[in-house]
Amino acid sequence: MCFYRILLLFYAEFRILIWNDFSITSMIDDRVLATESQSGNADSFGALYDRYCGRIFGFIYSRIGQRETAEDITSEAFHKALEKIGTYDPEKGTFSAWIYQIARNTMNDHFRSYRETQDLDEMGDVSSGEDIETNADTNLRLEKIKTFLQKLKPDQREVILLRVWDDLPFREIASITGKTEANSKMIFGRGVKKIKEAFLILLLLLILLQFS
Amino acid sequence: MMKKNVSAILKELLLLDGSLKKHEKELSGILQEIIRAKPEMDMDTDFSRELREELLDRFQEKYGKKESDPSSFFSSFRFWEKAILLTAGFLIAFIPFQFVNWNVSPDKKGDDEVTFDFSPELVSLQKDAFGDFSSSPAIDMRGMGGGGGGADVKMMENYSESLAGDHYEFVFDGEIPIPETSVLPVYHRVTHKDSQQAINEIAGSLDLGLLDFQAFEKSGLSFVTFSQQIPYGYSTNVSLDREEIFISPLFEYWPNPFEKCWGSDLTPEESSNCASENELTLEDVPSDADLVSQAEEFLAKHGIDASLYGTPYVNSEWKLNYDRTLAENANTQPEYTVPPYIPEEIPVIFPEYINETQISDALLQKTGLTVNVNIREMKVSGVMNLTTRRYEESEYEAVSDPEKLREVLRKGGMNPPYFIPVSESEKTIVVGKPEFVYYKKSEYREFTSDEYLIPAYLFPIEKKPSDPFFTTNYIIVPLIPLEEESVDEIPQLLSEPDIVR
Repeated sequence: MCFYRILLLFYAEFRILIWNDFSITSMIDDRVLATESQSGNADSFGALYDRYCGRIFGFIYSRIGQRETAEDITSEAFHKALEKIGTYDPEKGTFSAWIYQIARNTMNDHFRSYRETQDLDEMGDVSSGEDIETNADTNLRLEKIKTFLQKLKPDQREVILLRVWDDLPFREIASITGKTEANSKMIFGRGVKKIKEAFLILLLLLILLQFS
Repeated sequence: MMKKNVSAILKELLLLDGSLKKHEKELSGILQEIIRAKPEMDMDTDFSRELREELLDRFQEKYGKKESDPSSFFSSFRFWEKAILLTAGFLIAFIPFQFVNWNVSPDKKGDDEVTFDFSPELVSLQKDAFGDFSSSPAIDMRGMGGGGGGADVKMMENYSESLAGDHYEFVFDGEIPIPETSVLPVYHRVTHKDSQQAINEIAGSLDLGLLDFQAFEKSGLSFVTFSQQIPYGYSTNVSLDREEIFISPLFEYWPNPFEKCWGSDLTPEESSNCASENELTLEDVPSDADLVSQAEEFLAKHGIDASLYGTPYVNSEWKLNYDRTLAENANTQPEYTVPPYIPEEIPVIFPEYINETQISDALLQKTGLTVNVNIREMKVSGVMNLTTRRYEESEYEAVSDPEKLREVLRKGGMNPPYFIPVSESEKTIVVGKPEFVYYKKSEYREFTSDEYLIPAYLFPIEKKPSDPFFTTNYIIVPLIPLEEESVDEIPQLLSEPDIVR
């Protein structure tokens, strides 16, 4: 076979090749995958799912502390993303911020329907519900962090956790929370300052909790 | 990872509010506590898979089927065939412009995920398909023993004759169980020859202007190296003919802690002091859990499926040498003591199994994918034994006489120790209860090697003799008949002092 023919074949089939089990899909930008998904390419949507399912599950689990509920919310969030993929506008922000935003809203809806509370104020409290699957260590950690973060306003807490737990950049945090990047940074800074002011008390609390 | 996050967040904080600088240490502690308190759980793989299927079904229902055409040329190939054709594509595209510039980096932005299909694949063959092991050189006892292969075999045989009877003997006090079945499978690792031939034909047809490949009769593409030219970059080496990948540090991009010790402006004493100051200490050795976690993180990040292997463990052989050196130093005059050595890299092994049976080799009871962690930098510095696992399987008559197994065991099995006993009282070594394993054996031919997995019993050595050079931890006894003469001819090397004499 003439090698030029092979070369042509190679170029023609390159995308197919990399989208099958060679999995260089990870090298493809999220926006490209999202755009391909919008045009109906299931492989691209699958690749986005593979890339984000673990992170989104982790994001939800860390706020809820129950595996089954976290799975339900993860599933709901991805179903919403699938239904709404056509509305995603790469010009307005990253896919990461978009999917986190969906997950956050889905989680807040869950909280609302659960006990008519808003946002993440009751973080950790759900883990005292009947379908709990948390272990003692997780509960203790949740308790510690809850005490620790109760000193903060809800928006400060949310921004700090998105930055510290989820390692998201401020640009994405801004998209997720509907604030500006500068505002997110300011909220973060103020939150940390508040922590600093309460540091001695918190430190004592943490030590006491550690030995209680 | 946590350290990295904390330091990045602290930097941001200080940029936001410089007055926090004096509270840096406290803030670091608080941030670490917040990170540590994050409830974490891995997503259940079954749930993840089911949700994926459910989503893709819904996707196709909503948008119609529009994915890769399964009848297309490339989709009929498996991973290695694709890898080879992909490489061919790169070569054809780049070689005419960059003569033999193979410096194609797989480096990418964002999270790396390169998935390789290394799951085991078995091809059943008829009985005794690999020839008669009891008379063929397939199991060549010469060169066994973990490194003796390079020695002069004839010379070793002569030594062996002169030392007849003067070697270790291994005994098991209990009853040696015979295999439950009359036949046992033997495995032979094979590669995808058809695709290899295809790439060779393509490579062979190249005319580069500067060089005509066609003039090199039967030339083939066998090796590709990807160099990641960034700090802490890797050299990823792909052996296309052996279907094996090994990753090593690209040394010029990794810090050398001793570089500053060898300047021409330093006196020998200064150099020596500098080197001593930079030696690792026991405090620098991370916990096993941290090493394993580092290795797992690397594999996950690079799409290497660790679930194909068993529970990882840290190979701490270095610690035995370390303790031995300390013990020797305690009985040596200070000026003659040797500093105990701590390696820069510690291996984490992800054990390999075939048909749910552990694979062993001459060096490790549980061998498999090896991930080296550089403990000074706390980064993975290398990956070895990452191969495709396509095996031909053929059944062989199993040994049915326990006394034959006992006799092979007595002589040291397939991995007899190097040295002769230091004293008569230590000549007999008692071994523990056997474990059924597959023994990985390479048969070396001129420039190639074939890998077989031989069913065997692994007898652990419970109490080692006092000889510090005795490093054997177990004796491997094959469960298929081997040429008895071969077992008798196991060469025994002289102990080191004798060789010196």
